[in-house]
Amino acid sequence: MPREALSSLTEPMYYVLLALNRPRCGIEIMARAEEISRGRLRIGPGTLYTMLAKFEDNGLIALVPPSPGESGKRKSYEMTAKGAALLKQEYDRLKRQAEDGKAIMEELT
Amino acid sequence: MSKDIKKEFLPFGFSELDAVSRRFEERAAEGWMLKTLDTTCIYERTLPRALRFNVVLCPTAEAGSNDISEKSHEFIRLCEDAGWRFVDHRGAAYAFFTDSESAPDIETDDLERVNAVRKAGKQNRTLMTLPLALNGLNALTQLFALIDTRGDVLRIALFAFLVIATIISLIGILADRKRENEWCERALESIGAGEPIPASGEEDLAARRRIAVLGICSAILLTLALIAVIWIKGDAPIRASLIAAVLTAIPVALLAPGLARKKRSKGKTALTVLLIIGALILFVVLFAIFGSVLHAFEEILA
Repeated sequence: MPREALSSLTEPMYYVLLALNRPRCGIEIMARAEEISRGRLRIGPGTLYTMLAKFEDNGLIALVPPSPGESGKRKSYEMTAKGAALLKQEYDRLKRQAEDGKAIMEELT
Repeated sequence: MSKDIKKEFLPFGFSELDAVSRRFEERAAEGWMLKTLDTTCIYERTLPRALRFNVVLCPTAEAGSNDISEKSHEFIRLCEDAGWRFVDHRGAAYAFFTDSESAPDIETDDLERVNAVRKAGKQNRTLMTLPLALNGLNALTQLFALIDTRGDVLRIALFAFLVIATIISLIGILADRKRENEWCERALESIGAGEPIPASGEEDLAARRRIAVLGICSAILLTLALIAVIWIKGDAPIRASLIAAVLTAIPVALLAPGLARKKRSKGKTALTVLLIIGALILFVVLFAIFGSVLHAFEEILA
């Protein structure tokens, strides 16, 4: 069954939303996502750019208005309530998946 | 050409960006740094350097446009923040390089890469369809005129030229779509198998070059054939128009690509208008000169 647009998240999307637990600019998001995944996930700037545009179009993130006198600074984004809800939904889904497999993995090992 | 500048004929499609990136890396290691990204790339002499190149599709670029929009500038800024430096672009294909081993590749989501290639390819082919349709309509017009004039040789030649040109263009568009679809299918299979997308290689660039050379040779031969028929069957005014058209086309063909690469501005619009007016004046002047010369020549022969 095809995934509905952003009803569930890919791994990079999940980590980017996690990185947006506070307002960050693009390069900070990339660094934070890599940090959270302990170096496992490296998101390229082109991929991130497309992802942020998709998130913004779907109302999951919003641009942080620049403070007066900061017009030249990099764009920063923050998660919206809708984004936080989707992230929580995805976290719960992953948690259930892990729990479902726990008993079987214990049998195998 | 200065010995510090080198040109390379490098036609490429959106499914060959990996191979193009590797080519630029080889050139940089040989001491040639990419300066201009186009069907004929221009390199500048430099010290040999071990660089990484990424030629990627800018998600906000408009097909067929040489301008870099504000959103595309944002894309470039984000890539530069990540350690890449922007060189140049051809349409939606943007070339970046870095000397950092640790900078992540610009595109790390294979499925998005496939979607981007599909989208950009579709936009490009839509743009190419318009001149094709105009050619086809022109051919139809000539066909109706042919029926009226009942076998005028010049009209037959023009009709044949337009039909063959339309067919060659259509074959080119379909071949391009086939190559792209094949790449997308292979890429999706690899993604499904959890493997990286197979990178395009030298053989893909070579195949693209062969197709481009074939297309150019066909266009030249077709045009020469049409010119020959027009010259043989035409009278003095028609021959004068032909000479004037060919001689006008030469400076226009030399100046137009440079003008097309400029950013959209009032200056560019003014230069374009100047070029068109200049070409028209040149055509009229040459037509008058050669018309008189050929007419005088015919009278002498008669």
